[in-house]
Amino acid sequence: MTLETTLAKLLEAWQDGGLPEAEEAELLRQLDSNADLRHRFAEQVAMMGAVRAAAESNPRWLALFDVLEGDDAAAVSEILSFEAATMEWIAPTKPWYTLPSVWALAAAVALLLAGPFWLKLKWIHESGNSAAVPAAPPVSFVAVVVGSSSEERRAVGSYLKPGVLSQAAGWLTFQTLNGVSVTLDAPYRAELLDHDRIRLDRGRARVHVPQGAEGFRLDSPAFDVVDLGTEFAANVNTDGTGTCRVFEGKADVSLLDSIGEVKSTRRLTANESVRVTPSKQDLRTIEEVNGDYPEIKQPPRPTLALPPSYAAEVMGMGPLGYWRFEEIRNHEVPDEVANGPRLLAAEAAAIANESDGNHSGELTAHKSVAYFHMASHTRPMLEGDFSISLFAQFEWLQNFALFTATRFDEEIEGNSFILQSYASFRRSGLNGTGLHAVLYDPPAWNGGVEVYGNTLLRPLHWHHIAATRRGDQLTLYLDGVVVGRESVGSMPLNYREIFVGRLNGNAGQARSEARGLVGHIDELAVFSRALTDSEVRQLAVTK
Amino acid sequence: MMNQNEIADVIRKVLAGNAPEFSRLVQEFGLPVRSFIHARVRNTADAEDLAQESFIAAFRGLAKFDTGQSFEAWLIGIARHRVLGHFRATERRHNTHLKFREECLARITNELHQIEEETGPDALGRLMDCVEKLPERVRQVIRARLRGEDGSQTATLLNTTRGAIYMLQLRANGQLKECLMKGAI
Repeated sequence: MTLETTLAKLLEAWQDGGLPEAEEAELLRQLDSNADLRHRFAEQVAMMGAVRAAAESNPRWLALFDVLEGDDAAAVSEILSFEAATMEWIAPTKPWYTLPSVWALAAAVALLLAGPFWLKLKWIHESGNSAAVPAAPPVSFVAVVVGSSSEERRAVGSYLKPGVLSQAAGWLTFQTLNGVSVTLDAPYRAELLDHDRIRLDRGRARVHVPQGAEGFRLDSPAFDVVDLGTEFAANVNTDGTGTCRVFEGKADVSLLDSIGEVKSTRRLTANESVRVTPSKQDLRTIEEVNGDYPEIKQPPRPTLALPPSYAAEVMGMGPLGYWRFEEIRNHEVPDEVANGPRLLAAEAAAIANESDGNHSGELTAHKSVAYFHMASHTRPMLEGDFSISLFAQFEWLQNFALFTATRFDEEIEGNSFILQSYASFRRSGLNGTGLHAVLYDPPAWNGGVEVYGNTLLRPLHWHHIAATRRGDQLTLYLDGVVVGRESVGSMPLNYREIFVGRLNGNAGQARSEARGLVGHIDELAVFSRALTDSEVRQLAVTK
Repeated sequence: MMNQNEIADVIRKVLAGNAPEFSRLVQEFGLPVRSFIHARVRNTADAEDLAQESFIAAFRGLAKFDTGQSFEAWLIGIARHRVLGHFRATERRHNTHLKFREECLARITNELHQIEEETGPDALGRLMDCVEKLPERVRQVIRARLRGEDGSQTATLLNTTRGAIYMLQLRANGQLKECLMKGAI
C-alpha cells in the first residue's frame, strides 16, 4: 500500500470510522512505525481542524462557499459569532429593550401603528400572501415534558431548560430532545444538566435510552451510571446510599469518592443490580427480583385529529397522489387518486393503529430499515412547480429525511431534492431545530441550494410540514406558517424515484446515516403545482 | 497581530474591571485555540463549547497569567486540559470510533503540536483566501464535509466513489497547507 493510500484510509477511519478492527489496528501499527506517515497525517488533522474552526466561527466562511457557488443569499448570516457568544458569558451586554425610555417610545409607536397593522394582517389572511418568517427558536431547551401526575405543575408539552427538578409527591416523565425518556418518582430532587445528563440527588429514576442516544449519564452523590444502550433505574437515598438495576441492555456503574473521582466500575447487563454504600466505599452486586423502581410512565402518543372534511379538501386541490396511511395492501399504501403513483411500504414500514381510528404510517423500527417508496416512474415527477404536504410526528429531534427525490439516468444517480427536519445540540442546550430543504441540480452537482426554516419542532407532536416550489422560489411551512423562503434558481428537476422517511433505498446503510425517520407520518399529498399560502394553512388545520 | 505589550495592556485593563476589553483577546486568539480543539474533538458543538469554556476559564484565571510568557501558549494549555477532561468524560462510552481517534492522537501529538506552532494565527487568517483558490470540485468536498455529510453521502452528491472523496480531501488539505506556507496554490 502506498503512503497516499494509507493516508486516505487513515483519513476515512479518522473521520467516518467503521473500518474492520484488524484494519484499524494495522493503521495504528503503521503510525507507530512510520514517522513520515505520522507527520503527513498530523498535517491533515491540523488542516481539517483549522478549516472546521474557520467555517464554524465565521459565517462569512460558509457564505463564501455559497457566493463562490452562485448563491449570494447565504442562509447563515444569523449565526452568532464565537467572539460575541463568548463575550456574552464574560461581560453580558445590557439589552437595549430593558431601557425604560425605549419602552415608552415603543408604546407610542405601537399606538400609531396598531390600526394599519391590523388592516394589513386582515389583508394577508384573506389574500393568502406570505406570513412573516418567525425568528429562530430559543436555544436553551434540553427536554420536553411528556407526562406528569396532577401534583406536577409543568404541563405536558412544556420545554425544560437545564435546572433543578423537585417534587414531594407524584411523578414526572420527560424526554430529552434526543429521545431519552426519564421518569422521576417523588419525593425526588434532581438537576437536569443537559440532554445527555441528569443528576439525581435523591429519589427514584427510570431511564430508557434509544439507539443513537447511548452515553446518557445519571450522576448521583456517590455513584454514576453511564448508559451503553439500555433501560435502567436508580434509587438514591438521602444518606447517599443507593441501588441501580439494568432492565435491558447494559450500563456501567461507577463508585465515586468524596471529590467525584471514579474508584471502581462495574458493568451491569439485563436484570443485574448493584448497591452502593459510599461510607464503606463499597459497590457490590445484589440479588433482587424487580426492586423498588419506577416504571416509565408515559401517556399514549397523541393521535392526529383532523376535520371530517379533510380528505375532501385535499382531493379538491387536485393532488398528483394522496396517501392516508390507513392500511397497507400487498405492500402498498392505497392512493386516493386513481392511477396515481404507487407508494410502497419497504422493509419494516407499517401502519400504526391509532386509538381514534385515524391510522398513520409507522417508521419506528430503531434498529432496522423502514421507509416508504415511490418506485421509478415512466414519466418524471415534480418537474416544474410542485407542493408536498404531510403530517409528521418525530419520536425525538434529529436530522430526519422526510421526502427525498432521486434522479437516475445514464450518468446521474443520487438525491437531487431532500426535505428534512434538522436539530443540532450543544452541551448547553438545543442549538436549533427546523426544516431544511436541499436542491441539487444533477447536471451540475454544484453543491446545491439550501433553504432553512428555523423554527421550534416538538418531539411526539403532530406537525404539518409542507414545501412548495413556485417558479424559482422554494417555500417551507411548519404548521401552516412560512418558516423559510428562498430563490433556488431555475434548475431543471425531473425526479423519477421518491423516498419517504429515508434518504435512499440502500438497505445496507445504517438508519442514522440514511437519516431514517423515527416517528410517524400521515396524510401525504403531492401536487404538481404550487399551493398558495392559504391552501397550505387549510391543509395544516387540525381539530 | 498583537504584540506582548499590547496583550499585557489589555490584561491590565481587564483586571482593573474592564471586562469587555477581553473581547480583543478572544478575537486575536479565537481561531488558533479553536483550530487546536477542532483538530482533536470530533463533535463540532462539543469543540465550540470547549473553546468557549477555555476562554471563560482564561478570563477567570487571568490574574494567574504571567505577562512575561506567551499568552497563546497559556491559552492552548488551558484548551489542552479541557480537551483531556472531555476525553476522560467520554472515554467510558465505548465508542470505537472515538477510541480509534484518541489512539491516533496519542501517536501524532508531537507532530501535530509542531505543525500548529509553525502555522500560527497569521497563516490561519489567510485560510479563506486559500479555500477560494481551490478547484471547484475539491471545494465541494470540503463544503459537504462541513455540512456534516460523511464519505458515502459526499460521494453520492459528487457522483464518485467513497475512496475518491478521501483522496480529494488529501489533495485539498495538502493544497491548503502549501498555500498557507507559501502564499500560493
